[in-house]
Amino acid sequence: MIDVNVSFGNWPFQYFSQDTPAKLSKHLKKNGIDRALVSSSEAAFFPDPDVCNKKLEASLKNFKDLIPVPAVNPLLENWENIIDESNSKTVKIFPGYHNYSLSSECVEKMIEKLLKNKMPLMIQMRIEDERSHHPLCRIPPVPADDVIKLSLKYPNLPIICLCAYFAETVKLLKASPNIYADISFAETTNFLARLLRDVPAEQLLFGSHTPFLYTKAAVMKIEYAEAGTDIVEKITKTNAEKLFLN
Amino acid sequence: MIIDSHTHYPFGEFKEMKNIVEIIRLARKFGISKLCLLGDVFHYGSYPNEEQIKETNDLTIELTRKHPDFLVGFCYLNASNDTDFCLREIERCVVQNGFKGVKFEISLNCRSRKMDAIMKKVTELGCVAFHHTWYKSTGKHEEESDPSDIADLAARFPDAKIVMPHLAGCGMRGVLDIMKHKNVYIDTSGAQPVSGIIEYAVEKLGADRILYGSDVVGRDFSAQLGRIYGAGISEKDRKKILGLNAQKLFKLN
Repeated sequence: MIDVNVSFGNWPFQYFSQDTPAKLSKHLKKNGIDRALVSSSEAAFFPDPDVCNKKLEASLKNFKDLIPVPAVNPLLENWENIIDESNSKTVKIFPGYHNYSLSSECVEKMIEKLLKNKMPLMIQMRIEDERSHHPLCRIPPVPADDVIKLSLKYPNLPIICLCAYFAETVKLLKASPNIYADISFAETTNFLARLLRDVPAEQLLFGSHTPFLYTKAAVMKIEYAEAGTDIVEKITKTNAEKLFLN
Repeated sequence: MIIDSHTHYPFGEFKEMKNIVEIIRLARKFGISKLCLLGDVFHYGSYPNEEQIKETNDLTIELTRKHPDFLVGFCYLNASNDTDFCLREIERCVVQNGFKGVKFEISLNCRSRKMDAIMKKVTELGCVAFHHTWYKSTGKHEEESDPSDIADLAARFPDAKIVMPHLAGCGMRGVLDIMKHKNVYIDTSGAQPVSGIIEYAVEKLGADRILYGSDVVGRDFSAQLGRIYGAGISEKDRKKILGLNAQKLFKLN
């Protein structure tokens, strides 16, 4: 399986068992995950996310299965350098944590660059359930409507939404074929069968949101999914390969 | 043995899940042998009246009669309703229909002394009181209880068996709140499967006070069981959490 939603680093509100790349790699393999797209958890709060990107890249350099994804803050002067200098196939943005709207001018400029470089955009819709945020650190989620507007404006830009709730996932994927979503936060009874009633498998990606969530939760969502093997193959592997690994 | 200690069977908007046979089929696929039904606590909003409470419990009675080996009933109550009505409803559900306890939601904070007569009855009958709980930094309802409120309830009724649901929503602070109240259990239902919290609860409370619950139909058995199977705890503790504790607490076969 390819996991498109993994983080590495420290976090103010949780301690993670997978606190070295070796532990993370071993943990993911044990859960049947062969490759993972990994971002720095620290980039959400750190003033310059590129410091976290560099640290992440150095940490993961001996682990071919852990593919670093740089974090970009388009409000900062170094966003273009991060995209130009990175070997990554994609970048991740944290609009809620970095405090800007997807309709900002800085986002437009960044997207033009991504389109030129043929790079999909990953959007961290949220990191934690808003109800459980620290009361003095309440970070707003990214509004689904803002993502939809962006996707309609840039139909050639693949947009990957991470940690969208079930209803948001349905709304996003129905709205536009260039929006994709991972399964980490999407949940309801018999979730995948119900999701597939409304959205095509081609827009779904396996994401566990490790280490914030128990990896096994996402794995069991797939193991017990009432869907054909071809559908599961798309969600757990081929959709991600097409987007990120070609 | 797996007992899901926290499920809701809905009427109304979840029409596609109306078929209890389908829910039981899904549960069996995961090796679950019993589902505890806590009633549809959403359909009539935060403050269901007496008729609405009766209708909710009527459905649970009907379902548990149809599937007595698989479904375990709990009596849904709004403690802000007339106390005599609540006591009669407990009598009807627990004494006459074999329900294993009661379920309170968000209609009355459990610090209210209006809870006392009901809790006295629950204690006398030796059944279990589930009381919705969460530490919310956004979206908290006016009367919604948090774990410190449960600690207050537990101190007032030390002989009552109380289940505080939603471990991930209660968080570490919630676990600490109820740590010294040995009559309080916690269930793992609801919220995202946030890592590390099961291990923390086992360390602070001991595995004997933790129950697996899913919060189906709002949640999925897969992710909710995944957090139990994914936790770094002993197999002995995992078995307790998955079903042995619920079997003992609810006095199930």
